[in-house]
Amino acid sequence: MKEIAGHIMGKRAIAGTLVFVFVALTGASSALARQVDVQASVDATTIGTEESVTLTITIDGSDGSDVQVPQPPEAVGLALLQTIPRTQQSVSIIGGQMSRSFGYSWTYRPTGQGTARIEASTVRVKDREYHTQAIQVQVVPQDQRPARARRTDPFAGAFRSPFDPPATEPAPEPDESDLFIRAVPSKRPAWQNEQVVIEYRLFFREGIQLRQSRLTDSWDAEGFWREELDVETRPIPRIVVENGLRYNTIVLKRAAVFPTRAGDLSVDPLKIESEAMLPFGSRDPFRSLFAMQTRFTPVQLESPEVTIATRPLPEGAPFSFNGAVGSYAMTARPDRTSLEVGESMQLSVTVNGRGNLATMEAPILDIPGAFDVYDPDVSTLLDRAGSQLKGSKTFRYILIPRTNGTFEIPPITFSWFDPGTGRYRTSLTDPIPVSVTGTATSPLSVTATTNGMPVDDFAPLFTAAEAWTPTDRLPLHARWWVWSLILLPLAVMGGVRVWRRHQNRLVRDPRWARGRRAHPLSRKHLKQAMELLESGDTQGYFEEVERAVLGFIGNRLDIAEKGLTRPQLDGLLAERGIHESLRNRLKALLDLCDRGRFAPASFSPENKESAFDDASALIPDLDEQLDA
Amino acid sequence: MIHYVSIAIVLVSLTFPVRAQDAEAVRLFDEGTAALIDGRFQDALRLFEPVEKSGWASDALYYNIGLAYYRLDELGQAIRYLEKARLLNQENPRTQHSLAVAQRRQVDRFSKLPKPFWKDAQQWLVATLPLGVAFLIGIACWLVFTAGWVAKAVFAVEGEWYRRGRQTALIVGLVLMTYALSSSLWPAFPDRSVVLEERLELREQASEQADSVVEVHEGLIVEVRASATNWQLVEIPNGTRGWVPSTSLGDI
Repeated sequence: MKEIAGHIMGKRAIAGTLVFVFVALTGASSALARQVDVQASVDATTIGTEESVTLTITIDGSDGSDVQVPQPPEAVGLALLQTIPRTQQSVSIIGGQMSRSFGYSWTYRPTGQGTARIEASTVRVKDREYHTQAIQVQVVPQDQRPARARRTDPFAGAFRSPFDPPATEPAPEPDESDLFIRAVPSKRPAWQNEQVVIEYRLFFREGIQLRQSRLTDSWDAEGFWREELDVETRPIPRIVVENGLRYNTIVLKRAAVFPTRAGDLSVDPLKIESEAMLPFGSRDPFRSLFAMQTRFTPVQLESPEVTIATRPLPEGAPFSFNGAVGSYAMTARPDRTSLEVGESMQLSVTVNGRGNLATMEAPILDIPGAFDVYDPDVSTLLDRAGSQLKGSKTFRYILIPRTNGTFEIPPITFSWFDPGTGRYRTSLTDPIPVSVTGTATSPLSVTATTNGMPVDDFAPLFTAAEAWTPTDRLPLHARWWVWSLILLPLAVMGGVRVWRRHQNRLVRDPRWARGRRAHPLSRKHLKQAMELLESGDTQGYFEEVERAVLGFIGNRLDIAEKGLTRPQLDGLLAERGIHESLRNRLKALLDLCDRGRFAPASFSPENKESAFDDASALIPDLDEQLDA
Repeated sequence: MIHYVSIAIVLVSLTFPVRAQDAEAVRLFDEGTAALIDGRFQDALRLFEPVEKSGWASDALYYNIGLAYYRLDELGQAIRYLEKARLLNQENPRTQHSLAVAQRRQVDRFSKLPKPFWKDAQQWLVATLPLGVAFLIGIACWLVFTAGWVAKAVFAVEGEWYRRGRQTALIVGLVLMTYALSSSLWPAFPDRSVVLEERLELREQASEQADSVVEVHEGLIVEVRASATNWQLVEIPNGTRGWVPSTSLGDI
């Protein structure tokens, strides 16, 4: 039986989940390659001086018919035991597809201790040449090699009775090159909250059988958000060549981790316990069969610890960024856009893509205030089947309009950091118009406050405005009438005070009072004189003109003017500094008035009026010189 | 006499355009309110705008404008007009309720800087005794004192109670007028504005290149401390000051 029978049972769990692995391998393995792939491998990279090493060139994707038999590769420190290669062929049917592989094997024996080398070889398949890589083999003293590696005598069993008890051989133990777990992160370093997929692969040499495998410790990743990804429950091992050795490899565990903070974050090793049986030791199939129960050896495997250097997200995040890192797309879909007041509509906002959907927060919504908005119903759909965690998250909002009108739900914004480009990206939906018809009813008791106002909404509008006030009013201190009202009483009081003082002086100072009255009295007499002239009373006219002039002088000099002679009057005026010319003008005017009173017929109308003009001019001149 | 009659006719005729303006404002208010009831918020705002510019306002007008803006999701403008409505009528329960609803949607939550006690006292006094009323009472007392003084000076009216009344009128008048004018010169409520932009950076200097002091959001009420060309120095409730573009604010 050359077909691999591998059986892996894996169960997703964070801690203490059992992983059952049973692998039966004999001879050649299946190959999944559909294209031609040529690899060279050895059955051991370290051998004793008494051991041999087998080189196998495997041609996947070929049944050997179109392969030219390759020449055995040259070797340094190794001697070729046979030139004609052993051939082997395998056929696998996986998923309804058949694949073939064909192999050539040569056996070499060391010629001495040290580092031996099998050179590269060239294989021609159809019209194309394929080159293998050189392989180094360490040759150590035989006593440093475990017993399992001791070369057996192929003919010893031929002379032994099949009923003889089997010879006791120490159970061989696998070393690190036979069986190991490798942890492979998808990328390093990573951004904060970026998805990193860690794949734990079990590598085991051909022929090794494992059973009763289980996790020994809870696998933890402190500082990460973790999501398990699906792995095959019945994995088919894939053959790989590592350091010249052929291994079967299967995926034990695949986990998506999201660093929650910056810095160097470590993921615990994955540890499993199992029982392994190595194919080495006896080549006798019957003995191997009988020794099956005793030759399984407990083994403990542990992957290396994975450290992921995490970088903080760069500055310049848009305002709608709420921590999402990955690759996303967003859609928004209302179930209706026309409804009545009080009816409900559902707005579904879906974000799908690759990233940490579990912790993703809702995109920013700016629902018009006329709508009641309830907390969204959130559903998350994760697809764990692929090589990365992906899926979608849907936020379903219930919106209930409380008033009629045409509204628009503004574009919904969602931002994330794209680790591929190292930039923030923002997705915007189109604005969603919503038409609400009907009229708002009065608030129900459960949605109204104690004073009748609606809860969490505006009070009803005003249908009438009664108190109108001007809005272009100046501040109080900038209005002119304000200061006028303040200053006017002050002006009134000032005026009253001046008037009061004037009145008091008129009472206390008669001389000053007569002087104050001189002008008004003289004007009064002159006015009466003009009226008399117009009435034809020439005598009365000249009497009034004389009374106006003499009355003015009497009031100004505070004297009784009627008892004065002309020389006395002239003397008094001279004493008060009245110029002689002015005194002469006064004398001439008084003489004219005397003649007018006693011989009025001798005056022409022009001469009469000249007396008035002389008096009008004389009085101010006298007043001026008396003040001087 | 004919002159006095002519002046009176001219003065009365001057009042006619004002009455016509009132009627137009009321008509537009009614049409805007009808549009608001129909859910035509943009139309309502378009109709309310000339009313506001006519130089006449009422708390109902400002409230309805605030409601229209709120329905259009312009939170800053909604809060601005509700504050205007509250200034005209502090006791209106609809305005108080709706303002509280709008402010709950405001993002910023700043602590309030304690005010000096006299500022609180002044604000309480202004709210209790409006400046116009205080000034009118004060000027009336001032005129009473003036009349008493004139009566004493001209007619020699004397008497103990007459003297006391005159002195009381003088003191009350001076106190009230001083209160009214000083509060007008140095208002109890400083110039306030509302942030109209969704997000706004307060900057250390009046320049887009200046460092940011703090970020505020739409609807926050700030006090205007100084103005420069196209920029205003504002103070947010916790006392932090910064410059913002004038266009990003709406005065209350």
